[in-house]
Amino acid sequence: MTELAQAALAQSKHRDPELGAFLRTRPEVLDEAAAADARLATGNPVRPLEGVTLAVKDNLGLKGEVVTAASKILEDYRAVETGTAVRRLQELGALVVGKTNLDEFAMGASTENSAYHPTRNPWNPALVPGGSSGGSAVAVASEQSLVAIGSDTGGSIRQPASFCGVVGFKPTYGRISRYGLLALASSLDQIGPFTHTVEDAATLYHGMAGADELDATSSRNDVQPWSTTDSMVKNLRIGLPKEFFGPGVDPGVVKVVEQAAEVFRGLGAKIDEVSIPHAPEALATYYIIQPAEASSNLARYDGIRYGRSDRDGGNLHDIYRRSRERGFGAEVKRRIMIGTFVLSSGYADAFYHQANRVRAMLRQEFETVFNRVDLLLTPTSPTTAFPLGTRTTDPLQMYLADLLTVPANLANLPAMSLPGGMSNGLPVGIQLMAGEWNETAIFRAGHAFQQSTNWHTATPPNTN
Amino acid sequence: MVTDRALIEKLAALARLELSAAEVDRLTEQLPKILDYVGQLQRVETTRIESVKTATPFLRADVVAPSSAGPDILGQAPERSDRFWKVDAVFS
Repeated sequence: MTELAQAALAQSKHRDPELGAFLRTRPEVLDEAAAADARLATGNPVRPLEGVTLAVKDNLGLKGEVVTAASKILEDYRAVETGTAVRRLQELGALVVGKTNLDEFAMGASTENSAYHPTRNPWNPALVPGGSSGGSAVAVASEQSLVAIGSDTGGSIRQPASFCGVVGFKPTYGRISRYGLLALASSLDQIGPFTHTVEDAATLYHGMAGADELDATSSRNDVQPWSTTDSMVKNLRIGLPKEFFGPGVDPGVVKVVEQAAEVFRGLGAKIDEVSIPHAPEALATYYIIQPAEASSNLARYDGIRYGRSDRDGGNLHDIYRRSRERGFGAEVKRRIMIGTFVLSSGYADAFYHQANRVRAMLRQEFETVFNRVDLLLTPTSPTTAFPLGTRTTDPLQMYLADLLTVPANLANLPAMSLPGGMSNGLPVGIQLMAGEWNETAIFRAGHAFQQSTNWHTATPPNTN
Repeated sequence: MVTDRALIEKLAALARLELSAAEVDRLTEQLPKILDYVGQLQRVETTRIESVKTATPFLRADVVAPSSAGPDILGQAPERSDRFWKVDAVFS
């Protein structure tokens, strides 16, 4: 195990000065690996994730260690507890090699909004890796860790997975405990894995999933087992929702998804066009509900109990206002302002409550479609990776990157991005969505796709 | 909808943010565009929607148990006094 941990840290030393996937690597992992070696030397059984190197998004804490959410307001903050998802993976033998970069408080689609440094795409360092979990996606793509975890509120796992050519999976809302995750939008946040293969994503998922009494929103539903022997796609019904192929989606991306549909058809799946009529309104719905919940969640950063505190004269109010003003970055403030507006007296019904009604309609439309088909196949992102700096001055342009991923969060659905092909030399992710709690259908089809194609084995330049 | 400097300043006060003049300028320009975009939802017919389904919380038994946060929850307080968080005067 020690060799595996050493190899991961060495690869990070080789690649990360250019890519910036990590905010901090963990030299402690060498001691943890040595302890794992000692465990095995004394006859203990090999655990399912023994020696698997894991990168963890820096909005998930490890007890006693710094966790920043890439924000200055938490620059020196140390986690009080290791979160459930991370703890479960460590108990199965995973070795945490470092904490990965993100857009501040997971607000962004490019990992440029980090208060510390941007992360770059290993396929072309002039391009963004996607976000907000860009660091975790890059860690896996550039082989600085075998696997990683992140959080997905509106696509923050799937979109960077698409841009970096790896698998990214957001399970059903409530499937994995969020205990220990620094909350962004509590009705949307979900933790999930980054891997090269669907099989590994399923293994990590099974390691993390299941009820947790420390998270009141974690589900008590049984987690269905799955193994690679279950990869029959014959007669599986796959829908192509026409709204996900509309204007704004690059033709090169559409072509990759159409070719993937042909792969599934060749395996015996039944492909049909379907419709989610209100999908075009999902992005507007998301950019009301998410800032509303974020502005409420971020009220806890007040300069009183932990984190940055600016006390340069004045009263209690000034501590709040100055600590928040100086601790938060521009995008975080923008979302707090949007959230405050849509919840404010006189506007809440037209914005926040209306968004929740549209969200309910969207859920009904997905429920209806999943009576007809087992899976939906769509692009993950409207485009491939874009150059750094091209969307940072126009917030709406950045929000459009989430166009095709937010519906799954609004409808609580499991969704996976997996490498589906290339466009102009860059990876393109295809997205598989299933009905609530039906993760198994995604694993089955995704694994079958990877058995028939080799897009997931493509490696970015300069990896070795 | 009127989104002017006064509204931005009012929202900043509600959100406990001491924005600089430059930030107020920028948000006065940006927020109307974002709110116009999300405002498209007002054209969606939703009168047949009654309520929004929310997740059923997973509640433990209401009994006293040790906190997982450990004894020193005040350990990272910027300023403390014994078992209390210390703050500047509420009114001044």
